[in-house]
Amino acid sequence: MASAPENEKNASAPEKKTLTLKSMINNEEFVVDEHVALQSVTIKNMVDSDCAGDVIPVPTISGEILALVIEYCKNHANPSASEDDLKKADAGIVAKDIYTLIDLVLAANFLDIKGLLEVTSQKIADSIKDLPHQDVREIFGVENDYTPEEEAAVRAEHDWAFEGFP
Amino acid sequence: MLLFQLSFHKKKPKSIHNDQTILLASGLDLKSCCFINLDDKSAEDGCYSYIMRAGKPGTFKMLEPSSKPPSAKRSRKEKNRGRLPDASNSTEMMDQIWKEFPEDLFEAVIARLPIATFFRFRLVCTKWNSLLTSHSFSQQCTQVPQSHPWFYTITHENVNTGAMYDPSLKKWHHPTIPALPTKLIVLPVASAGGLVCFLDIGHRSFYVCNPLTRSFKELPARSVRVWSRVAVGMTLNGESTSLGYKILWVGCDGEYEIYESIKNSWTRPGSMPSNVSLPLYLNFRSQAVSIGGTLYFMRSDPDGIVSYDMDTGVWKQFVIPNPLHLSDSYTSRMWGADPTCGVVDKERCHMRVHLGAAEDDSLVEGGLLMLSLRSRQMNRLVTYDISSREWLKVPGCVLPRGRKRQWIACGTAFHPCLTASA
Repeated sequence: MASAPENEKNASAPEKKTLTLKSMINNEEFVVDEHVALQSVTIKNMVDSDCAGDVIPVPTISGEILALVIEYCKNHANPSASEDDLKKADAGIVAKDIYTLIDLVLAANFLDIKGLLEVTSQKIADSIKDLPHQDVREIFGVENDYTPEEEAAVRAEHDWAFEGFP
Repeated sequence: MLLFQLSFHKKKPKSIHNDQTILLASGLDLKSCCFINLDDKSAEDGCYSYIMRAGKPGTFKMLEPSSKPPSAKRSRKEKNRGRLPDASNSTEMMDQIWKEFPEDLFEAVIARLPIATFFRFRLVCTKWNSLLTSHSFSQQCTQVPQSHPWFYTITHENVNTGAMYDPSLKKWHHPTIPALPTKLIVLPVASAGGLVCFLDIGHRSFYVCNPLTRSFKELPARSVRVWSRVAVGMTLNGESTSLGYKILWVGCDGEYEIYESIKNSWTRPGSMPSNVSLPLYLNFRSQAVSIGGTLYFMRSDPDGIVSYDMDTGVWKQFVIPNPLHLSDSYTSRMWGADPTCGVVDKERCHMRVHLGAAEDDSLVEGGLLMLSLRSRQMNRLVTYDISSREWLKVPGCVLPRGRKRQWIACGTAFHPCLTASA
């Protein structure tokens, strides 16, 4: 949209309201239509309670991740998008490496966007599901707090689930 | 009306004894499931072909199970993905992030893993292992859309251990349930909310078990000491087993009794009303179907269905004459007051599923039928997905480290649930 002179902008009713989201990690700013941003329950609560200034600072979320979140919100704010279109668009957004996905799920959680939280959680689950459990420990930095005996006992209980795994 | 037809053409009819055709049919919606057993001769060996007719021309696909690379190979590939060039830097960062990862977020991820993967990942750490008993985790599990039901089956070769078929991974699992009696043969007869109800072949003792977690209970003895064959149905009081469940058995003389898990006892609510014709010739090859607290049983003479509403305690009878040219029929699912039937013609090896009220696609979402055909030279399992109209071969059921294919004797469809407790 070409920027119009200030007075004209005010004259043309009803003006689409926009919000500016600012990543506090790298100070990147994003101007988005209000109805797009309001899919975030966190932002909606801020706007509803008049806590939102001209620029809404978003802590702990990088510009790269914020761009993905906004892309998701834009897609889902489009009333003419079919379910199939949305599915394809969602799949594109979450086609990322596991580290980006974890950042994304944290962002979706912070901004309280249920749909994004769900697709991202599912994608993380899909990307780790075929890994040996030792690799999962490594990726997520989880310490093995089993004794070897305990580990063997837990494994024996559901031995059937380990078919094909070391 | 939708009509699906599966047709097996014989090339050289032979007289074969002890052949079996088993139709394991899950219900067409997520809450109903049933298993149908045709235990006499049927499918002849020889060539066969499938014909499918539907309301509109459907595409017919017979697919091999998606050929997944062996897990070891695949995991190596996946492993490399986790070790991208920058991984060494980010691993340190990740250590921190994962530790700060809010609990409900990692529960949301784990709740979305395939069931078998969940059990493997219990080995990650004790915290992941403890999720099975976590209330918040079971809440997360209810948020995840249910997938296809699994099938809990018993094979002829191994009546004391079950074999579970997982249609999403197209894999057989061989769980051990140490609590189940080994001296008796116990058969899976009904399921609800992830629990499977077993009855011993002497029709005396009932057992309830979650085959995934081994949560187990032997039910108290029934008050009626009649050991003739009974039909069994199972319903949930709420959305999950946490609010309890009920089990009903009904005999051909109209005697029936209900077990309530909350009270852990059997009660006899009354006698069969006169609108249900006695004797009640139950069709034992067809398992009861449970939809929204109501159980449906297939009967003959008169042909049709009897239903029992667990909430109101009301019996109803629906007389539904079978198509004359069909020699036998089995319920696969009924919907409300407009019951629909799955019909199997043993003589012609036809299977038809009539979906009376199910023209609304949302009602049939998640439906899966499993059909097993066997003769001396053929032992074929197939599934049919009602919503995608896709036929899939089921891989042979072979024990780990074993080579001989196991033959399915009977079973029940159930919705696997990690947190269902008996």
